[in-house]
Amino acid sequence: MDTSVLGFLILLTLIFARVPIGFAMAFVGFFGFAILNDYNWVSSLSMASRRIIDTSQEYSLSVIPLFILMGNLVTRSGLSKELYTASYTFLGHFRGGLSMATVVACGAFSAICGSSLATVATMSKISMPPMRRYGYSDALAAASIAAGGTLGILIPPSVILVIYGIMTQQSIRELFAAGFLPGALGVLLYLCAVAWTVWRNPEAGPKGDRTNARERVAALKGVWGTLLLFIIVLGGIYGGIFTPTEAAGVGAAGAFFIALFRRSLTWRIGCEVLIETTQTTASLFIVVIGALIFSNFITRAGLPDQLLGLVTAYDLSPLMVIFVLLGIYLVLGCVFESLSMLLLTVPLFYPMVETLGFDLVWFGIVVVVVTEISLITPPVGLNVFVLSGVLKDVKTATIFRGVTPFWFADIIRLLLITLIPAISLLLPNWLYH
Amino acid sequence: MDECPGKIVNHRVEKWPVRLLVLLLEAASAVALFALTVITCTDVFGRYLFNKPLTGSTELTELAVGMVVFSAFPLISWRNEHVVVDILDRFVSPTAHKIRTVVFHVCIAVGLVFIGDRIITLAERSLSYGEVTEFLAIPVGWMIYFFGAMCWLTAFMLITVGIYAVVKTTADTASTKPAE
Repeated sequence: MDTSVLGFLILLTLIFARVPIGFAMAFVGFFGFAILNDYNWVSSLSMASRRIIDTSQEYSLSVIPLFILMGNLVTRSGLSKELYTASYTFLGHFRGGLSMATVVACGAFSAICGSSLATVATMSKISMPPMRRYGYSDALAAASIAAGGTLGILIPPSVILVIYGIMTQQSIRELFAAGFLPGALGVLLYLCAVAWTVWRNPEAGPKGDRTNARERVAALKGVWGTLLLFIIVLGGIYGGIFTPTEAAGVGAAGAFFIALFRRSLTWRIGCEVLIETTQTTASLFIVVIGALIFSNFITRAGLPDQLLGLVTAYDLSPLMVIFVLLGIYLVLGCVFESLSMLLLTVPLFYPMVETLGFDLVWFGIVVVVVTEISLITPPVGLNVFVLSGVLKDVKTATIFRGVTPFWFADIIRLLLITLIPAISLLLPNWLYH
Repeated sequence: MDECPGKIVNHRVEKWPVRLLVLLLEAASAVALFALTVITCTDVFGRYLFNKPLTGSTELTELAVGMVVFSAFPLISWRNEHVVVDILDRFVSPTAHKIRTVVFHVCIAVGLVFIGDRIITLAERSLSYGEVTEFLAIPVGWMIYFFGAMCWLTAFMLITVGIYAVVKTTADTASTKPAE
C-alpha cells in the first residue's frame, strides 16, 4: 500500500487509541519521512528538530498566547453578565427575545474569550435562569447557548484562523478581515433561527419586558470597556495600525486593566490566569508542531498531488470538489476536536484547493465555519455535551432537538459563504488590495 | 477553539521535590508570558507616542514565546493534559486506560530523548557558528539548548512522576475524566 495512505491509517489508529494528537502526528510524520528518504533517520530527526525549534520561536504564532491571555482575563473579570444585560435591553421585548439576547451575548463573549466551551459553561449560568423565569422551553433556551457559543471561533480575533494562516502561509490580517462578515452573518442567521422557532411555537419563547432608553444607556455603561477593547484590537489590525501580535499584546494589557478596574483581579488570580494561559498555549503548540512535522511527510510523499490527480482523472468540477471536502469535514467533525481536524486535513487539501483556483483565505473561512457546525452536530457535538454537563436537568436529546433550527441556519450560512466568496473576501479586498 | 480555560489541575500527587520544580516551571512560563505582553505593548506605545520603537522587540518576542511553550511543556506532559480524542473512553476499562497511558508515556519519553539529543547537537552547531540575533546579538544557540534540555526533562518526568501519577490515581477518576 502507498506509504502516505498507510501513514494516515496508522495516525488515525493512534489518535483513536488516545495518543496525544500532537505526538501521534509527530511520530507518524517522523517515521514516514525517514522511510521515504531510504531510512535516513538522521535527516528525519533534523527535520523534526528544525520544525520544533522554528515553530517555538515563530513571531506570528506569538498572537496565540496573547489572545488566550486576553480571553482568560476577560472570562475571569465576570463580564458575561453585563454583556447579557446589554443585549437583553435591546432585544428582550421581542418574541424569543431572551434567546436572541443570549445568542448575541454568546457571540460577543466567545469572540473575545476565544473558547466556545468556556463560553457555553459561563453563559449558561448567566442566561439560563432568566429564560427559565420567563417560561422558555428548555430546548430553545439551551440550544441558543450551545449554538451561540460556536460563533466566536470565526469572529476575530480567532486563534484557529492564526493557525490556519501559519499552515497555509496566508496573511493573518486578511484572514481576520475575512472572518468578520461571515461571523456577523452567523449571528444574524441564528437570530432568524430563534425567530423561526418561536413563530412555530410561540409558547417556546415569550416576550420579555420592554426597557426604556435610560436603561439601555445604563446597560451599555457596563460593557463599554469591553466594546472599546474589541474595537481597538480589531480596528487596529484592520486599519494597519498594529500587527496582529501587537494588537494581541494591547488586547491582553487592556483586558488586564479592565479586570483590575472591576476589582476581579487579585495577585493569586493573576498568577493563575498567567499559568493557565501558558499551559493552554503549550498544548496548542505541541499540536501545531506535530501537524507541521506530519505535513512535511505527506508533502514529501506527494499525497496532495495524488489527490489532485484523482480529481483530474474523475473530471470533477472545482466546486464539486469543494462540496466533497465539506462533506468530509462534516463527517470528521462528528468525531474530531475542531483544531485537530483542521490541522490534520488542511495540509492535505490546501495545495489542491489552491491549484483548482480558489482563494485560500476564503477556504480558511469555509473550513472554520464547518468546524463550528461540528460543535453542535449530533451525535457528538461537543458544545451540547458540555452544556448538558452544566445543566444537569436538561437532557442531551432535548438540546439537540432545540439546536436543529440553528444547525440548519449554519448549513445555510455555509452554502452562502461557499457559493458567494464575496461575503468573506469583500472586507480584505477593500482593506488591503 | 477548544482549549478549556479554568480546568482543574490535580496537584495532590505532586510532593516536595516535584512541587518545587512545578513552581519553578510555572514561574518561568508566567514571567515569560508577562514579559511578552509588556514587550509588545512597550513597542506599540513607544512607536506611536514617542516615535521610538523598542529595539529588537521582534527577537525578544520570539524568545519569550519559546520560553512560554517549553517551560510549560514538561508540566502538561506529565500531567497528561495534551489534546486527545477521547470519544472511545467509555469503552475502555480503567485498568486498560492506565496501561495505555504508561505505554504512551514511555514511547513519548524515548522519542523525546532522541529528539532532545538532536536539538542539542543543533544548538552546539549554532553556537560554534556564532549565530546571534540581529539587533541584540543574543546567541541563538542558548535558546535551542534550552529546548533540548526541556525535551530531556520532559522525558525524565514522564517516566518518573508521570507514571507514578498514573499508578497512584484511583481507578474511578481515571475513567470518569470529563470530556474536554
